[in-house]
Amino acid sequence: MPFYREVLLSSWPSNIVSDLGAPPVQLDPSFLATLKQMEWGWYGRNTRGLLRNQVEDTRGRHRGANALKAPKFLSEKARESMSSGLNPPAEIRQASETLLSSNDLASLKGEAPAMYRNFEIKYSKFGVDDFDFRLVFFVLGMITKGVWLIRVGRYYNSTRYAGLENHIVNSYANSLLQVMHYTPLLRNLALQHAATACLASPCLLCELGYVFDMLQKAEGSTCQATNMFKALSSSPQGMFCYQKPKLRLYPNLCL
Amino acid sequence: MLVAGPLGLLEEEENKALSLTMMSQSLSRYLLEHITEAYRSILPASTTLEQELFGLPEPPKPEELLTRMLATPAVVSIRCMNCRSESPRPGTTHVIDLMYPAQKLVGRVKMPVARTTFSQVLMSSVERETTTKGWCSRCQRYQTLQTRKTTHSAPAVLTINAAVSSPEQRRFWATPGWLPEEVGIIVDSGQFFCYEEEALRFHLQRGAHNIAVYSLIGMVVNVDSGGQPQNPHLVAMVNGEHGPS
Repeated sequence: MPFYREVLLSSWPSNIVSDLGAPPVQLDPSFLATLKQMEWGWYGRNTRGLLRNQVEDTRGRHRGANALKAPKFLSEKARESMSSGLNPPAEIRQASETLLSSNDLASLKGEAPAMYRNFEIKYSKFGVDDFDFRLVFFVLGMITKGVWLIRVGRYYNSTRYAGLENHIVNSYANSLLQVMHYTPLLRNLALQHAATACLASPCLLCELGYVFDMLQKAEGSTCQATNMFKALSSSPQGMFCYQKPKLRLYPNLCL
Repeated sequence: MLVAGPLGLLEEEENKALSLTMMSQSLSRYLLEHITEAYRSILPASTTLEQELFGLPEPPKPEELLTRMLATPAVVSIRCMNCRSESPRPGTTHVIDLMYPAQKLVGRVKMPVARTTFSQVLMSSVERETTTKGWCSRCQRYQTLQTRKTTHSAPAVLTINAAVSSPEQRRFWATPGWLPEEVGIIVDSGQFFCYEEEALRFHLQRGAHNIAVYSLIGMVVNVDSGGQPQNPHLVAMVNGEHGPS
């Protein structure tokens, strides 16, 4: 994608982008009970408190007030600050307030606090590098007293702790890889092995070593563990030639 | 041959029914098993760091390092309750699956379990004392068998599988402060002891036993709001204090 300044034809303004197919209006069961059934449907008094020809906005409800607002793409921001001349941290403040207000002790509640919710990385024309990950990470650190949250997929991040992208197959393993990465002995063991002349292909321990090395060198930008996942999913005939016979029973024991 | 597919470690169509938690738990087991196999296969260039850390007199062999770092060497002894004969079996593990105290049934009401600490759960999970029906080769018939694990040492990296399968078990984890930031572990002649908070401080002060203090590095957490408003997903929580500087 060449660099551009003017608005592209393909980037539609929000007023022509419209949602299709709103979810149906949820009717109160007690209201339904008052209706009379006819051959062609139901009829009764209008007790909704709305005019007969008035349409309810059913989409807004689904978005939820508690959800975090998706941050703007970096390129969008750069363009905005060019035009307005200032770059207020209003979004940061707003997002952190959302986090703090929803941070009551909720260990037994059904719903997880906003900061633990899943987010999808939105890819702009410039790919993942265009995404603003820096928004609210410092707030998280404060809330949890020394326990850092390494978000899978690294949505908001202002730290030197790198995240792993979560749009790849098998990326459920990301969180386990992160925990292993921050276990000093394990990390060291994998790095040691990756530095040897190991010829097994694919070798999961070598791949682990590469992932850990990458996470450390990324200093806070995103990484992908694609090769590691590829090694995991390929069925490695040669890899287990030194396998002890007793472990062959393993698939039966597990799951 | 040991492949990742049959273990349900891959995100594929047929594995959709498996929960992320299960997949992550199996993966940790698989990876640690594999790490030890791969590490054993080729000597690393330098193990000076580990030699220093564990205070070893000479450069350690990979096997020895693995035992010190990842594996919990143990023997499972199976005892027939009828003829009292005992048969040992190797039971070395890399991941400890937690076993929660069973709920007592009084009449038809499930009684809430009295406050059980994390250390108590961990202790019973390492010993894994269970009673099952099984074949006794000496009695030549099915008998009640008692299995128990004897541990000889604890590795420097303890990997624990929370293995939560019911709302009651989840309650433990939902109790603020149930998971201590530090536990102390004493392994003495096949017995495994674990202490936290007050008891840990007491043992450290007394200094009668060789106690190893473990700090919580991090955990993988499943965030599940019952499918609403989002599907479950995993989050890693790590204590940055132990991380790379």
